[in-house]
Amino acid sequence: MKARLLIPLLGMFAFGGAMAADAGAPATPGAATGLNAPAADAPPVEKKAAPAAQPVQVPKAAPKGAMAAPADKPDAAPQFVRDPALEEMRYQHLWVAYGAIWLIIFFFVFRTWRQGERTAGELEDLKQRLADLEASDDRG
Amino acid sequence: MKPFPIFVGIAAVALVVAHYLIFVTVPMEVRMGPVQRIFYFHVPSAMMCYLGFILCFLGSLGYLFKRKTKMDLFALAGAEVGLLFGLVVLVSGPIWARIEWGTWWKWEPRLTSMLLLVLIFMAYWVLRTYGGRGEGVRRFAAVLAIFGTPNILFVRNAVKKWRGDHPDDVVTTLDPDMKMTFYVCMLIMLLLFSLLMITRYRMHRDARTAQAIRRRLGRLGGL
Repeated sequence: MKARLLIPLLGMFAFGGAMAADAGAPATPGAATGLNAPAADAPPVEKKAAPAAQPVQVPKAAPKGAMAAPADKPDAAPQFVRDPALEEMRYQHLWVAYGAIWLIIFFFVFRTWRQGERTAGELEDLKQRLADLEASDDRG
Repeated sequence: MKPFPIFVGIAAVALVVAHYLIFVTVPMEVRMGPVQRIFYFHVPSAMMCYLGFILCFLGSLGYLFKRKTKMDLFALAGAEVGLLFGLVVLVSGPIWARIEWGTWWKWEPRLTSMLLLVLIFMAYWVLRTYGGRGEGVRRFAAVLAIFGTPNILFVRNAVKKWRGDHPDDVVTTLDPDMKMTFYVCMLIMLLLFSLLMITRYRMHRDARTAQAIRRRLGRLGGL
């Protein structure tokens, strides 16, 4: 049974490992799969690397939604700086995200605490009953 | 004084510190603005999700080979805590995507493979919770975890391999202040993960002991 389990498992790891080793290599048109194949008549699309995260220096007194790029980066993220409505929406999404994260975590912690209390109480009760029963058996 | 409550206190303080760093001190990201701050919990949660599933894998492997109940309970606790963090990832990710991509969800390789990974462990959890307490269920669940965990490799390499839209290897490109906040959040999440893992393990161990006592009481006629 153990050998039967190990063989496909090793196969899966080998496949995953091979994929990991291959992941760094640039994809060639010949290697395109159904997921990333360009349309037949379309030129191949050059993927851009994700831009590096760059901080903006925010003045402490600046009101929310009025953040500016620093003077030495005049062309930095114009769409982020200039639209207060978008800025407001970004803040809303940030609060909603952290609210949701904490709701999930608190629900899990609360459920764990309730279950733990109930199990510990039940265990104490059962131990007591077992001790009583064993004591009565000894007397009998 | 017992060490566990001390660690709970440390975790609570650390979480306050993490929020202070995320919302007050960390610099604003130039392109995404405030919504980028989701990253400081989103990525560490993904790491904790992988860690939970890897611990479940190790516990399941140990259980199948050694047949030790402790291993089985360890695997169950790992899956549960991993699932919690997996849900955090799947909830916080789309909120970020709504702003960055203009849509809540894309059938993009990283997102799709992550969803599948979480669904596999959801199946494990459902099986363990509602499938009864028999030996067969535990063995079946262990095999499911063993075959489900290597999918982490697919999730990790999905962006490079299938050229997904999800950002990849972002941490190395971060500004030093952002990187520091990220590592602090990572440590805090690890602390939270460890505490939850210990608590869940103890709870399952107590439940298993209660079950054994109940069986004994039944044999002795005390139930």
